[in-house]
Amino acid sequence: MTTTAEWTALCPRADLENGNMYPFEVGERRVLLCVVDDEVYATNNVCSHAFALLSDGWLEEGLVECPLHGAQFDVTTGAPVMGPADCPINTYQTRERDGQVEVLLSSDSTNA
Amino acid sequence: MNDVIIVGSGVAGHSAARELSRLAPHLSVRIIGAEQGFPYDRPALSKDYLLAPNAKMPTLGAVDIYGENPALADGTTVVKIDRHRKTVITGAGEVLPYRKLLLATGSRLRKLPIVSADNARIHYLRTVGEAQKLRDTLHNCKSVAIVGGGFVGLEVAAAARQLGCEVTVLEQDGRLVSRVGTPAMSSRILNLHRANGVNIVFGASVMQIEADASGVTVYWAGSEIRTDMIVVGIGVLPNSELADEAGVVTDDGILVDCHGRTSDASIFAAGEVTNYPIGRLGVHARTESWTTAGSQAVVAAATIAGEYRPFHELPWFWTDQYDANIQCLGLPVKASQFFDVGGLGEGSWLTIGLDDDGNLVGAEGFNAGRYISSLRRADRNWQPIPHELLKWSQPRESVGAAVDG
Repeated sequence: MTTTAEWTALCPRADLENGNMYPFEVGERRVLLCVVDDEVYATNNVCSHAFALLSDGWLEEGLVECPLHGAQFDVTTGAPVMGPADCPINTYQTRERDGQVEVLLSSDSTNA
Repeated sequence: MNDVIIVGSGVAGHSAARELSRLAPHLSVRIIGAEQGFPYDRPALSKDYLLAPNAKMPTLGAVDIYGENPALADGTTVVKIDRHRKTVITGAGEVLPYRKLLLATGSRLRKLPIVSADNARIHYLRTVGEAQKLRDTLHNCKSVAIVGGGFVGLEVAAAARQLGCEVTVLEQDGRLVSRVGTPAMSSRILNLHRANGVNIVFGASVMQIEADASGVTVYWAGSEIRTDMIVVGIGVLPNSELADEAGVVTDDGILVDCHGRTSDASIFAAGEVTNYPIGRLGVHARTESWTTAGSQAVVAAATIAGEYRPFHELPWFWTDQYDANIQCLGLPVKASQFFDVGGLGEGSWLTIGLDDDGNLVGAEGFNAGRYISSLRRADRNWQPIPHELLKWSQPRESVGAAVDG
């Protein structure tokens, strides 16, 4: 199986504030952008424990907390650090091009 | 010689073992659990696990700390603590010395004091084995009676309705979830279950149960119901006897301070077995909360490793029933005034309970996890109730009787 990955522009970098998070839908996929110490990180926006949007929860000190059951993930690595989640959330590479934030999304993993 | 022995392999014992392996990897830690196998995630057992016929056993994270052949997999129990020799004695007669002992023995189900000839139709739910049996039976039955209108009973009711069973809940009290929920919560949950077709009977003190080959009959004052099976969910009792018999101070659970210390300097306790200081409310209570059991155990493990971080988190728990995520923070039943928070959107509800001085005592809500989380954060960081919540709040005219927990 071949995997193709494409850079997808999500929004202007200037729209993102430090310490905040921003949900996006790209086709079937839900992507979360988090700004931690002025760096932009991209993860899946769906909790790995039960279906919930992480963007409905909280971002604090680089950890995003799910609103349903309190699972916490390190947005820089996707690793679960607290709460009931056992699996990490996907992370995506990000870059800035012409003032736009872009994420590298592969075509074969729609929601993983 | 073990530096640390942990008794109990639920979320508290596991969280403590995990924190000890992180903070003090040089310590030798032995965890002794009565249940075979790796620690698992109990909350799932009364929810998704019941719905999917092939759901796998829900695991807890980081079980790799036990290696491939964990000592806890032997299902040993501890039958005695000798505080003077600092040893525990197992059911197999082994004598294990300890430097520090952590009791994370949790709780056990209260049972109905009624003996029945045929128990195959009578279910309780605590362990993964019981959940498996319950699931297999639920998927093949048409009607179920649930004894007890607490959270676990209602979770099973929701799962059974989703599987198409006819469901009757028998509650001896006059309202649902009366131990931890305020009357406002009770009526919301009642509406939720009635809207989903659950039949709920109040004032039903079960007096007799008769099971036979074709079904089971439950009798209460002047009434009876015939169903395919029954599920009993009437609360838990703390497994504090080990401590009690050893002379460690107990009072409806093992008494601990905010560091997880008991009355014996070498013995610590965490999780559902403890009676502990609640947040900064100035009261002790025993609570049933997965999150609290885990984070309190992390603090107790830190104390054992010589790091003092007081545990002041308010107890917090959640349940998922049908499409509702229901949460309860702190001890709302102890509040003397309530504010209903408006403007949260359809299907959401949040009420904040305060004491006479306006301090946060608790909160409860439907589909309001984000806001309950903001209250948890504020409380943790010694901050006042977030302004946005107060701005949207209305004091409730009639407080309703504050109910004892």
